[in-house]
Amino acid sequence: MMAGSVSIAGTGERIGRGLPIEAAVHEVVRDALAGAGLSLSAIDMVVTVGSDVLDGGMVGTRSGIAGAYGRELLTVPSSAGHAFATAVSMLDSGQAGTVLLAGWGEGTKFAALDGRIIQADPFYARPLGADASAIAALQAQRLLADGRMSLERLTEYGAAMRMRADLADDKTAGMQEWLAPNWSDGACALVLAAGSGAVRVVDFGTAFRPYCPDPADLDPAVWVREAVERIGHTFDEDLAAVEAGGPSALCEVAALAPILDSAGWRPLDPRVNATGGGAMAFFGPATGLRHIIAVADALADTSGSGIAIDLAGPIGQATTVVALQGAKQ
Amino acid sequence: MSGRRIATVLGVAQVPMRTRLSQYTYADLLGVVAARALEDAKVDAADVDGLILAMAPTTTLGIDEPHFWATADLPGMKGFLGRVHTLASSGLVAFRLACAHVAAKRAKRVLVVAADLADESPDLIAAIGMFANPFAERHYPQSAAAAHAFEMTAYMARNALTERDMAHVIVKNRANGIANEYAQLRAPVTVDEVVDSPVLSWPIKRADASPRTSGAAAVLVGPADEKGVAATGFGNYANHPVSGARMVPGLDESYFDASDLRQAAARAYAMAGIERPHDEIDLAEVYASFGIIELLSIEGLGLTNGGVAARMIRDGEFHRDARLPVNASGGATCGTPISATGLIRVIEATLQLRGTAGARQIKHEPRRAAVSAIGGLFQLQEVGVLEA
Amino acid sequence: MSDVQERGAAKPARSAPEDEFVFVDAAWSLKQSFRRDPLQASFLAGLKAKRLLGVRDPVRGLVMFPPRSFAEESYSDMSDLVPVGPGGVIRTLTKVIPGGKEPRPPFLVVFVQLDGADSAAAGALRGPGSDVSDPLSLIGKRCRAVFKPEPDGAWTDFWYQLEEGAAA
Repeated sequence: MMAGSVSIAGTGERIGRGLPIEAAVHEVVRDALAGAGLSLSAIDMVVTVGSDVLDGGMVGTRSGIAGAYGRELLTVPSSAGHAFATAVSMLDSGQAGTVLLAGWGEGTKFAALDGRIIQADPFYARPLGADASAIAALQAQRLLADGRMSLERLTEYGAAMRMRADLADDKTAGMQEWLAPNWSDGACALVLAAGSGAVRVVDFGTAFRPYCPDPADLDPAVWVREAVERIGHTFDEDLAAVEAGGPSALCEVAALAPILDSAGWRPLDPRVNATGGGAMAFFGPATGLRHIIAVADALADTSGSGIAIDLAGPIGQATTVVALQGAKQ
Repeated sequence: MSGRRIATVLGVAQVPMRTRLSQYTYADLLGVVAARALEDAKVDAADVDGLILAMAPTTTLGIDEPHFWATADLPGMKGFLGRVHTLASSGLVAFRLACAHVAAKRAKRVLVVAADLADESPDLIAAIGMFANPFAERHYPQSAAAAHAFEMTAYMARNALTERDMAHVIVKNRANGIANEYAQLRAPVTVDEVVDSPVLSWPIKRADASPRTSGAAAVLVGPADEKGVAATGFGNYANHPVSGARMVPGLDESYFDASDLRQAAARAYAMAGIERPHDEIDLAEVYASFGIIELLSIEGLGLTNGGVAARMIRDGEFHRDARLPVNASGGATCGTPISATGLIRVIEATLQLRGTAGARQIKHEPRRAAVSAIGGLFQLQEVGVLEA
Repeated sequence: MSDVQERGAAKPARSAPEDEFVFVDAAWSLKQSFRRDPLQASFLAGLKAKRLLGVRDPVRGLVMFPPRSFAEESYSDMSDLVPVGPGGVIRTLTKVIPGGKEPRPPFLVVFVQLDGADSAAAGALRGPGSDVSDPLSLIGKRCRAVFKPEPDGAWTDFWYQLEEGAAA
């Protein structure tokens, strides 16, 4: 349960291929500040998320590109959800009044050679060939074989997300196979503040599994349910937007199931992943910020509620569910 | 005046630091310290509902995003709240994050773990060099020794100090390390031995530098209303990486005078209700991989009341039997597993405040401690305040 | 990284004791791509022309040398190139002992705040007075950037020498 009141006051997002990443970060920070009606000097604290390995640079010491200079800085590179949680708890516990949350990733490098091969246990898993693709394939095999997912549903969802990504304003989004990430470059920023604002953070919940979870425990729906249990709020009646972004279409459609089943929505409802989910862009651990932003933007000037699901890791096992509420009376 | 309690340290654990800990993998180390911290806290693993991993650059480990591998089955794993990476200050920042989540009622028992193995990568410089932009200034040595030599030279010139004067902080720490059963270096060293040790980048000598260390640490954090040492203040200051822009009189000399650390400390002290740190702080544990960093940290934390730390140490202040001991544990001079070193500062301060620091316990009953850690080349400053 | 320990000479690879297992012997091979700062080309072209160029921060009015296209301090883009130097003041230094087998004399690396610049930058100090037995005495002394006769457009095109009075 949230202890206090935190709001999203401004957002900024850039995605594409071959983005000059530092310039993109500057732009999204400026957009988020403008949306919040604040100057950088009004920000107490910066929280950043990204991957050193993806960028070839250390996110922490590079965070000046996100406005960290002279401010307090925390870098939580494991996932957008974890970084979001950090920002909220800093505000909630009174250690900051305003937080600029920023993340980025030069993901297109991994399109050429997926660097995630270096994540698995080097003693037992890597010698057997475990890498992100192998784990994702195992997840897919299990979910399809157990009947928790049908190939038809998955294919339909994957195709629809690719269509939405192609139809989006940014024409640089590419096609996505239903198992592999659409590696892109991206930068996102949000301004969060203690107190009321355009979009209120209702609560968030997390779940986590290690790199190679138990083969019987590969269903993102289970993790999402676990995360939702930590949220003390139901929002079925006024649900207006749902976003789930992960390393694959399969991961997303599995993760969406508990939310959509509860709301009685279909995965292809236009209010679900309106911009194509992960098919639009995947740029490493910061990707989840894009989905939080998408829900926040959809709720601005409304009184509806929304849910953003961050699925980080090779099979989405660092799961964060964020519940937001538009503050219009 | 006491500060408002933010969260409580329920349990602490570390392993004896060594150059090599070949009997453990990285994951093993985390498991060992996690179990010991819970034992210290007398808390069951089932009651831990949050977990945070502090891990600096992972190229030294050879595994990217090690939180996926190494947290398997650790207490609180299902409530994993993230990996903190602010380089060598990661451990202290991770502790701060755990306190924030507990204070925000996000979780009741958050375990912070950290470990580093110094010998997993045969070439540490190359491992860290993977993150260096090749277009950045490359025309002068970019080593940590050179980077801090620039600070040491300026400090000596400004304060009219000799190399012998500068050696006393190392002599102090190495003497302190003898009584610390977790220290990697537990033999004394003389001023002559420090000054005569091989030059890395003048005036930095090998004896000025901390060793390469393998080790691990864990801290269990609980709500403020529980019994135990409490965190009462945190402050942080992110400087930018261009050291040359921080060497300018009248504009910004933070590279030379720790004015950035001073700002981080001011933020922490404001939160903790401290107005006169020189009088109100009873001990400090400061991360310092070179002696000059400790001197700048002592001054930046306001512990010298305007004096010059090197001279004061030479004259007996800040030793373990002094009024305000700094690094009674021996500090990073005697061992520093990078990812855990900030957390070890919290642990050592906690043990002193509890009165359970054994042979290295300071004699007067300390009530308040300052802890600090630095990420990058004197870039990311983190300060915390703990109270008994 | 303030925690890296450096050795003057290259360290031979250490072999594991015979009773230890080496489970994994592997290396990372990752593709990386880095972008050059947009101002770097102008800066290096300036060096080739024996000119030292800084850049003005439009918000703070300060001149940064070497030039970079973004100021984290004021969160603003920078593009206004400004000549600086060639004289300046030594702010700090270190004496580098080169590694390797052949004996080479140590050399001084100095941080110099050039005239007209509001930041310091590193370079080698050479020439008369640079081999002083008390390097600390050089701090605060004036020096001058000296170019090689035919610069290449690289940082190694220039070094610093003490100004005449300072070399005493």
